Amino acid sequence: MTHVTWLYAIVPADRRPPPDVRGVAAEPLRTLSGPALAAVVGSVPRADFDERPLHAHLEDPVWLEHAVRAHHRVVEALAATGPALPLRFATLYHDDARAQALLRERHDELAEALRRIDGRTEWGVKAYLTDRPPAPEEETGPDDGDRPGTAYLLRRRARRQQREETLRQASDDAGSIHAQLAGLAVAAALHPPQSAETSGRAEPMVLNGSYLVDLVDGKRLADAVADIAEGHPRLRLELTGPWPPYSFADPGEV
Amino acid sequence: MPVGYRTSPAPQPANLADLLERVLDKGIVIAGDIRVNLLDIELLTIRIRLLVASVDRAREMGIDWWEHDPGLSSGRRDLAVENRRLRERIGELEAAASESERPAPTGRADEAPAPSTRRRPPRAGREP
Repeated sequence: MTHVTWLYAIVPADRRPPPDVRGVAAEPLRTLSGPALAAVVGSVPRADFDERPLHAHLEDPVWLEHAVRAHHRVVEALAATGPALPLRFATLYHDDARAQALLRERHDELAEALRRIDGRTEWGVKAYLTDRPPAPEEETGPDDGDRPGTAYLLRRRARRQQREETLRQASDDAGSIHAQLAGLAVAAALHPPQSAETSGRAEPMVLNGSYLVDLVDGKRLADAVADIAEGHPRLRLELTGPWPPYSFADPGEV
Repeated sequence: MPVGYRTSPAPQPANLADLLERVLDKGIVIAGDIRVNLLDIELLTIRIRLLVASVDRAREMGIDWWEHDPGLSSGRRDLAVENRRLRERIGELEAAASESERPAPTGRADEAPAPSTRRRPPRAGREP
């Protein structure tokens, strides 16, 4: 066999693949039908997607970004017009028959997972601690005149302690924000906060949450985020979405 | 277009880190036939950092073909050929960039031969 089967998403049996969208290898998309469920798949060249060449490609940042965006485009196009359970990137079977066997063997579990995200979408909320300069009254101390060196060191320590306290406070706030948003959602999940290099921002990230909400509740969540932002001037909140329900697809994760 | 599934206009191309942490680390996890190690979170984090840095570097050099949907562009694209050409080009440009930063070569036999030093004009568009 010259090709292997890449899986994008599980959908209800009557779904067609999205028109005008191609897959990770620019291949046309197809659906494989199972009982009541279908898998949207593409045939990709074994020369690039067998274990060894695939691992080599995964080390190539340009290839990886292209493939990740292509996989996401397919999932997103499907999720835009109906329930779609995303599969993790690089789920591959030797052929269609084996992918179809998956639909049979794991039918009940997949059907339940699909039902859980049906009519729902994912939103991401990230919170960053914004760097605010210390208040002017903390800049000088009573001993400045006699022992400026000591006073300087004391001020530095006070600033560091204040910084640590601010971070601790921000973390607590992040926890309560997550709880608030989870209360509005069907389900909630936490991602690890992104490092500065990953987020591309100097400010520390204190919250990286995902929230599964009914489609009609997207605006309600957005409004809640805006209200929360007003109540936490030291934090900057960022809302992303709607996302296909990646964070809520796997039953083991929820 | 069935009404209701999109609550807002299609979002901008997703921030890469947000995309990676979902596409690579979430979704239904099934073993499949071809073993892929995406589970090592530390490696994933490192990979994300490298990925973001490398892609930004590529963009600085005017390379951004992956931001255009091959399915929608006119004319077929051979991805494998494109990948190879792209890697060659990045290699050339990076070597040229580091050439200009390095001190004069000492002529060691084990150094890679210098790439073409012909100046390239800023890229106005993609190669055909």
